[in-house]
Amino acid sequence: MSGAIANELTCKELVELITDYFEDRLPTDENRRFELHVCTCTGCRVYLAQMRALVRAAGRLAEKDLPAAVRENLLRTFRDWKRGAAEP
Amino acid sequence: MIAYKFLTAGAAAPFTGRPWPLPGPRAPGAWIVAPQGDLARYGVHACRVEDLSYWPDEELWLVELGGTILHQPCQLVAARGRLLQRIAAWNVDSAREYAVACAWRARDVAVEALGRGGLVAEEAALRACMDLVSLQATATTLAGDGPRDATRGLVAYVAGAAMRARQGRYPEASLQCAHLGAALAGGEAGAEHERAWQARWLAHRLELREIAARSGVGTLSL
Repeated sequence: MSGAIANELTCKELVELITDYFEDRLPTDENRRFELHVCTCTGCRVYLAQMRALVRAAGRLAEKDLPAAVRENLLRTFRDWKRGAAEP
Repeated sequence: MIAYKFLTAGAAAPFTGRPWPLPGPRAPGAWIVAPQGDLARYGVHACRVEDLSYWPDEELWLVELGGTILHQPCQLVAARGRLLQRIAAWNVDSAREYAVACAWRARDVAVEALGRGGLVAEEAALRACMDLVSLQATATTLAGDGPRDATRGLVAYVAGAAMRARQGRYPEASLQCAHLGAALAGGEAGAEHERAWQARWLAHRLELREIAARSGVGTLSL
């Protein structure tokens, strides 16, 4: 949600800043703007919680945890994507 | 120093999720001590009364702050803090009341502005609303009629506040009101004016002055 308050963070900005927030790289004022926005935006609060859960879950995964079929599927997708990107 | 702190359910810090040590029947909770380093960044954050409307959450607690205390925009930051007691008056019911109060406040502010602008019909239509359903419907219609100008922009915030109040979304209902204030005043001062109104509403409804006096740990200037 965004509106008439000039220095208020928008939802779009929050999405762009979330990695820096997690990595504690935001300047203190920016960090406060980030958290102020979260306090008054249900959507961003949910998004932040989802991202936190994702980071926690992904942090526990090792390469060997990946089922062979999923691994193969991912590799195929990346190969196709690279091949597509290389085409003129 | 006595201050306030909003926490999520289970007395957990809203951003880190860490639970705060709870007070016992006759003793405060254990101190939370800020790590060494940038206090403004990593200190214990809390609210003065006037900060409450910026940080709403599920639980409201009376806290004691100690050591160095920084007075920052919208918050206090201290070297240490501990929970004294939960303010039980802040609950699902009072949070809903707060959202509703914000929606009617938005209506009243907009009505005044419409009157000053000579928009008599629009003013009367909003003034005639007796419940949130009609307020949302009327404001939505008024905001959507014709090209969007400053006045219709104000009315759109009333519609937004009414809709969120109906859904019990108090943080967003209060934010709509702050946006309306900013739009009306042409800047931050208008938003701060509305945040101050909200803080006074919370202090009065939750009887914060009385709670601080009863807690026996000091007085609180409101």
